[in-house]
Amino acid sequence: MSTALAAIAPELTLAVMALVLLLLAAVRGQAAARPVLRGGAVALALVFAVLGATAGAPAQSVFGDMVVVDVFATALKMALVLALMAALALSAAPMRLDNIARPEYPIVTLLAGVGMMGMVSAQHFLALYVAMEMQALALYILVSSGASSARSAEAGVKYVLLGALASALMLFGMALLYGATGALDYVTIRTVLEGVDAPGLTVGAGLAFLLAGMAFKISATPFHMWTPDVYAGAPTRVTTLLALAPKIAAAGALARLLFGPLEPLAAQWVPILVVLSVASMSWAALAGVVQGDLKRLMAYSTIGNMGYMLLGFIAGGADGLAAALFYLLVYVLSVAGVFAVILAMRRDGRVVTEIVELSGLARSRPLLAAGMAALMLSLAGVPPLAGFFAKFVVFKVLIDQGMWLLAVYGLLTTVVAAYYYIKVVKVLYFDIPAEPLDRAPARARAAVLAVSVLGVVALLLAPGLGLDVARVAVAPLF
Amino acid sequence: MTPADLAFFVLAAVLLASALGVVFTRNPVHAVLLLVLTFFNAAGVFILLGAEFLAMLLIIVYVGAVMVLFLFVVMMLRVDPAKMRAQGRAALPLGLLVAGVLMAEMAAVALSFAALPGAASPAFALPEGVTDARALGRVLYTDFVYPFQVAGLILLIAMVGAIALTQRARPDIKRQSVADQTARRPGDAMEIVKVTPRTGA
Amino acid sequence: MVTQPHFLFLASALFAVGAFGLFWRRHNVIVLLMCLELMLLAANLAFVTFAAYAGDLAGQVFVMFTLTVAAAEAAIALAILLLFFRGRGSIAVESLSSLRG
Repeated sequence: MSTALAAIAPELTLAVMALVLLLLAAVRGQAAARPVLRGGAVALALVFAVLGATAGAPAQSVFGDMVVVDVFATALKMALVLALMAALALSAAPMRLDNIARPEYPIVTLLAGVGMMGMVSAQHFLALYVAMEMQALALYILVSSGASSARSAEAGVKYVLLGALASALMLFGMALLYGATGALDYVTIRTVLEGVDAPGLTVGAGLAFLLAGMAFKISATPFHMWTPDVYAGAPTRVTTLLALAPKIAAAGALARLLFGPLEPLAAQWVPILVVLSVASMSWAALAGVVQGDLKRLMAYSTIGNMGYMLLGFIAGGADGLAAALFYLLVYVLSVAGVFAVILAMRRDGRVVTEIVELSGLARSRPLLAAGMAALMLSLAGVPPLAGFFAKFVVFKVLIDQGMWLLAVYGLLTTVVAAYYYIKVVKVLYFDIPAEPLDRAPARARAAVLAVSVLGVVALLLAPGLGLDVARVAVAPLF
Repeated sequence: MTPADLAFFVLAAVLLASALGVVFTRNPVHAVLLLVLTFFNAAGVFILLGAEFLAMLLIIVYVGAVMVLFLFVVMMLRVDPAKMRAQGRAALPLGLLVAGVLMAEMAAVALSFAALPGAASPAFALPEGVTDARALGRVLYTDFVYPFQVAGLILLIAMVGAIALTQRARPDIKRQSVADQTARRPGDAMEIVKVTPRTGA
Repeated sequence: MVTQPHFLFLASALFAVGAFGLFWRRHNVIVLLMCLELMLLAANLAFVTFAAYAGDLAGQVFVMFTLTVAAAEAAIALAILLLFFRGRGSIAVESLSSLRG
């Protein structure tokens, strides 16, 4: 038991810290809002240290093979902790300004983090299901937590309905796979599936349901319909979280499923992923062009980027998955900075999110504008920024696998999508200046933006480094 | 046809009929009550399958707590059935299509079902001569302790979240504060004035 | 003689009814939630059937957890619905369209 507890020490630390902070909130009431936020940051730093300390440990499965702790899990958990930290730091200022500084929300964010960490470690359908529901429930709460209740609650209603549908689909898929293979843990399922030539109808249906549920979670077209509404309706501090952390967790869980128990079914799931990926890339490129709201634009950006990430899964093998992981991390790094800028958009105390509100920002706030422009160009895939390199790597593994057509199609959608990123840059630099945005001191925002922009630019100095790290991280899956 | 078979067909028929009722009735209160009926019949089917404890759980947790919660919300929101809009007629063809395709596929899956050759032998075989509840209890706190703890955290999140979301600060309402009352000391409320004789207060 | 396919067919039919309800009753959030409960029940039924015929307890344990989680999910969903109702004064949710799809 003690080795099992040691193996999940990061999750345990975060959960215990969240409970301690909850007690603090129970005793001190609303006054605890600030200490809880600080405590949350400390907790995450602590978890990061724990993760760092255990990073070199050999892989092990604990709790009757339900949970696996390996380099892949540890690497994704580190990324998750950093994403949560960024989201938490960015949430402080808006919560104060909107006068809803409640201690419960940071605590729920931390507990969502526990669920996400559980997802990337899950090696058993039950462990995956409970961890995924844990993060989903926490996110439903956060999405509905806006001060201007009506819009936020509406986004919450949509998110709950579609999230519950996704979990019902996944559950049915799990049930069918369980019925066919007689097992719930990944290792046994893989052994059983490897032993049969034709997996049959039940397994096929189970796979389809499971993938449909996962597609909801990573918001791949045609299961993306909740994304723009929820991104736009949720408070921006929560949208920041939504765009970063759950995507890492869902991609990690998907990788474990596809390259673990479902690996023998690759012939079935590759075509499904091709459809999801092509649909996501195309739809995001087309629908993104007409968006006037920056948060909706970022929703379509997420959908499109998930499509490009799936290309890495389709290419398959350690190289393909490493490319996908690298793509995901570059995406998260860039988007964190973009949301730092969106959170700075307030005029006369009111939140504004339209793209036109950024007009001529280069005059009034040159640094902010330069940072935003760099991130937009990176997302558009303009060389030599990190976004270009990430797309290049993904397309390269596709071409190595002989999937020319898909790579060329991806490239085409990139060109279309680049239009709307570059449009933002044009608005920043060449439009007639609008009223200047409110100036509010926000060290956290500046720090996140700086890290994001520097990361995106600095990758140029060592383009191979990030990819090497991704290769090491995915090694345990193969 | 054995009594168990007869029971299955009766339960299944009522189950499906009440589920259809949930979908088609206009009155949300009726829908909740039909859902309760559905769950009762499902509990009966669980018993036929030998899962007595889950059957009880379904009635206690689902009918007892969740459905009452639904009923409570329906009544609190005063959803007026007369005002409820006509159903989504436009969505009917699409709905029928999706449900039909789903049904056909799943019927094919159900009717052709056979566990894969070489399917794993049960990881937790049902022990002989032990009640369902006892068998579940033996594995729940040992082999499944990890999901059990996570489920505890899930319930905690639900509780904290539901309270944080729906609680409204009502400064206009006066409430008794027991802590304040017991923390009150005589010195807070009273001032003892020593009146020296013949000078007045 | 009732066999495993009978139970699976019942689960499938229940799942399809729930899915149909999602399309047919999309103007009332609370009925939508009930349809989702039907679909979850169908998944649970499938789990119990597989568990019973394989003589495995794991499937039954899984259902215990889905019941727990679904109860928590219903509580959250209804809390959010309440919040929505306070803001709008209605759950007859063509008002959901204020965020475009």
